[in-house]
Amino acid sequence: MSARRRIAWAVVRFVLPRDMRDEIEGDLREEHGTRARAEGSSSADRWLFRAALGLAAQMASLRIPLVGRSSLRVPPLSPSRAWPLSLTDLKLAFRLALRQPVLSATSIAALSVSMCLAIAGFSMVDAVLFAKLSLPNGEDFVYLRLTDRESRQQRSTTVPIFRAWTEGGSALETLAAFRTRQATLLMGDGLSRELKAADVTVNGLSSTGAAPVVGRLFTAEDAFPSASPTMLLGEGIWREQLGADPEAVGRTVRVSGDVYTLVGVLPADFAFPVNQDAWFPFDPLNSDSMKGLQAFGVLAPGSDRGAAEVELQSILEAQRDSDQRLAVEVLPYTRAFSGRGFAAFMTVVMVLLFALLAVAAANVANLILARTAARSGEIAVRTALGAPRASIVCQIFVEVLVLAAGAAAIAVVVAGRIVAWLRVLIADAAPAWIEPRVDPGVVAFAALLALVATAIASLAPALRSTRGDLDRRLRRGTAFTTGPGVGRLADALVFGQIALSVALLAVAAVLGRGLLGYQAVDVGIAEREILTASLHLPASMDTDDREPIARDLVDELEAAPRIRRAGLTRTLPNRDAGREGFEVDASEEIRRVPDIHVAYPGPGFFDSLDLTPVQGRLLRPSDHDDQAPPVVVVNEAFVRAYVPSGDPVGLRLRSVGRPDEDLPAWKEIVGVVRDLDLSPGLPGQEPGVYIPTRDSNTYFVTARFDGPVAEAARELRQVVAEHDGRILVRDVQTLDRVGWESRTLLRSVGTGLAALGAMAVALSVAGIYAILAFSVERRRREIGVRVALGAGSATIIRAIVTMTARRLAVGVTFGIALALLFDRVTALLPIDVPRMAPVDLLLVCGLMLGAAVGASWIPARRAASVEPAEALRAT
Amino acid sequence: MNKETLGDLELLVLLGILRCEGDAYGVTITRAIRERTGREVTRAGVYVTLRRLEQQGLLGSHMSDPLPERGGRARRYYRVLEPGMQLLRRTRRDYQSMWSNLGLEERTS
Repeated sequence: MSARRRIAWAVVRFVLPRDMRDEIEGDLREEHGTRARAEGSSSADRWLFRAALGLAAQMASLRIPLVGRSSLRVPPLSPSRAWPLSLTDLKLAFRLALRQPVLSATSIAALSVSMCLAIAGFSMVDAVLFAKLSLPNGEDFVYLRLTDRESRQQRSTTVPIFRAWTEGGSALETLAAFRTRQATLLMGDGLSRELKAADVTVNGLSSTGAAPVVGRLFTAEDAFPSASPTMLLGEGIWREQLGADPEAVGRTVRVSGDVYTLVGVLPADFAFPVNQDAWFPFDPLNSDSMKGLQAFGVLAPGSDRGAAEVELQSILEAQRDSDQRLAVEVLPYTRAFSGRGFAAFMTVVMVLLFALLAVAAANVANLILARTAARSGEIAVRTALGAPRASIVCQIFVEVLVLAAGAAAIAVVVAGRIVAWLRVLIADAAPAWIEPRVDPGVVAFAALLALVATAIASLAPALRSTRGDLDRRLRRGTAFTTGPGVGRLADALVFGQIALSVALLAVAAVLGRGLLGYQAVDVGIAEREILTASLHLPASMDTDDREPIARDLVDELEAAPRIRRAGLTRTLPNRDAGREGFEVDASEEIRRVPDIHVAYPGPGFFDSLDLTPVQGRLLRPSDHDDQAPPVVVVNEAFVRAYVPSGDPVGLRLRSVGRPDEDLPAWKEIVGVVRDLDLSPGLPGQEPGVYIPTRDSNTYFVTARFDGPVAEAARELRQVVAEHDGRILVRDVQTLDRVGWESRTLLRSVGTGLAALGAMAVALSVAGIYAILAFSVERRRREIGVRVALGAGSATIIRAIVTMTARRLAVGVTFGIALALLFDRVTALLPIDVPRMAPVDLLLVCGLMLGAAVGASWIPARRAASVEPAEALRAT
Repeated sequence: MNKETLGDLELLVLLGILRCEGDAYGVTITRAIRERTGREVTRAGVYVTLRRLEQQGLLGSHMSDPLPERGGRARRYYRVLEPGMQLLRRTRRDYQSMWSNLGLEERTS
């Protein structure tokens, strides 16, 4: 039986009363059989599916409840018993919204702001977590992630592992690899264009099914070490830089100082493996350097990720000298780039956004409660005339739905702008398949939000206003508005708002604090007086040409007029340093330390920053020579963590090493340098080791300079160009600007979270003010009587403020409990989030208290100014 | 209940039962209305109307034997009772009286 048919019968059985079920189901079966014989079973199933859904809709539109009845009591046909969502109800709802512009505008504003943020957040989640590769067989692409099981750090794939997988695996139809890098296309007129390049295996690129716009893809010969260097460009670069000239294919181009033959152009929308616009062929099994190698594959027909993972893991473990700590995960390709941290972080953010929406909806619920309370007499009369409770509840639902739909429409438009801005912001750094946009799925989410907000804002007030003995409701009329039931519901709504706001503000403040903590820690270096630049040596430069750079370039830079001290390094301060595992020989025992940060300073680095040793000495230029004894410098955090005696000078340590390497030699610790923030954003300083670098393809220059930055930068470029014109100089900036873009983004997100919390407080305060104002207005007569009996202003004000404080106390208590619960939950997530401290909660509660007292002041003053005579005369 | 008038769908359903001449059940009644008038009446509306007319004493019904082509379920056959016939005749008289001499006969080209 097809799924359609199954669903259809389930619907039929669900919607029909028991005493009609056999008859109607039998008739449907008979018709289905006739159609199946005449038109085929597929057509008959489609008819049945439509008929079942039609039957359900028709039964509902005839006001026959779909749940919980055994026999049909058929109401007489009457035009007045229309389906709740009739045109008349909608017209009345629109008319009411226009007649109460302040309430409508307030409700729409509160809902649209919170919905807008939730929609923008959802579009990011949708774009990142549910992204698919736009390749013909994209769903079969998998990413192979190696992880150290102990430290949970990701490891690059090594050559022996890649070779073993290539030779031994069958679960993957294609096993390939890539590594991304920056490159610079040099044009003839001295201009250059940055490229997002990737070295890709030949089979990896061909497995994507990409068809070149011009030319060809790589062949196996292109990856031979002895082959003439070739490359592919993206169509955008080809059009922009080469004038879309088909004759450019086959000619040579200069990239990062080397010469390549352009063999083809790939389509503009092709950016595999991540967000590339230039590709170079390589064969990992014939390459010198394996840094940054990332393995991926295509599942073989009939295979799945689980089977592939088991197979690859067993191959990994069967390797001679294999590192037993390594584990391989076979992930959907796009998932590997979003990370568990992102999913967890976005979950937290979405919960906060939903909480904000709930606060806004509770605010609207209070306003609707006040409105329905004012109409209680009308509602009682309608009930007495025969209107069922359901139709009155539905009408109130529709009235709020009109407001929520308006808010959702505004929110979708504004969210579209926000999402477009986000798309531009992340375009350079994010994978090409991540393109957040407001698509039909996101619009459907917006519609769902509108329904949820409507339900929160309308159902409680609607049910409350239609409850209770009809006689009493008719007799009390508008006096009912001051009844205890309405007051309790209003109180409950305000409690809920305050609780959610306190929790939201506390969590947002803590998260925001964590993100704002990604500011550069002051490590005691005058960063504006240090010029930095990245130097990129061409891959074709041999060791004989590379080695003297580290030795000679520093001297040549210091000879420049405006540069006082210069140094080279592979890791700048306030930039995340890589991690490695080490063993420390503490004379009595060899102790394994968990993965710690490793930086590779070149000659002159410490001197250029004016650093002096805390103990022992810092690195000297001679320490960078090939024949020099292996030495290292550690930071203060390392000493605190791993050297109980406090004196590490003379101890030895060595890297634990990788499976394809012999165990490295022991290195002597010769000194201690102060902490230079090797892991920006994490609290405190982390242990680190500084190993002198001897030979690298890339360096950072650190140059202490005098005079204008532009002049010093010009001199720096000139010195490097004169040393070797093939060296590319990029990102010339002062040290304080390093990492500025990512810090700005994080700061923006942190500020956004703080604004979220502030918005929640503002909404709660507005809710408290509205309900107090309403309460004072409705109790005007009572207040007038009290004043007439001698109550002073102070007494009245005290009564109002006490009422507020009581609501606040309950709400804040629940809010703190929610915030602490949230804190416990986020502690379990794979993201680094600061823990909530008592001072955070105290500050939030204080803020809420102050805001609520402020909100109650105006209604309290108004209550105190009530004229008894006027109040008693008013009906 | 003394029913004095028939609604549009009620009229069609009663006439549909008569058209089916003893073979009147949900499927055939709906088909008769569709074929004679070209109108797509809703399935639920027809069944609900049948129930209501039966409750009002205008129709009677009986169950057939279970049938394999209906998954072993019985058909419910309907017939118009005398009060239903009387109401039909009165309705026809009333409509004919209203329609007559208005010059709105269907034109044949």
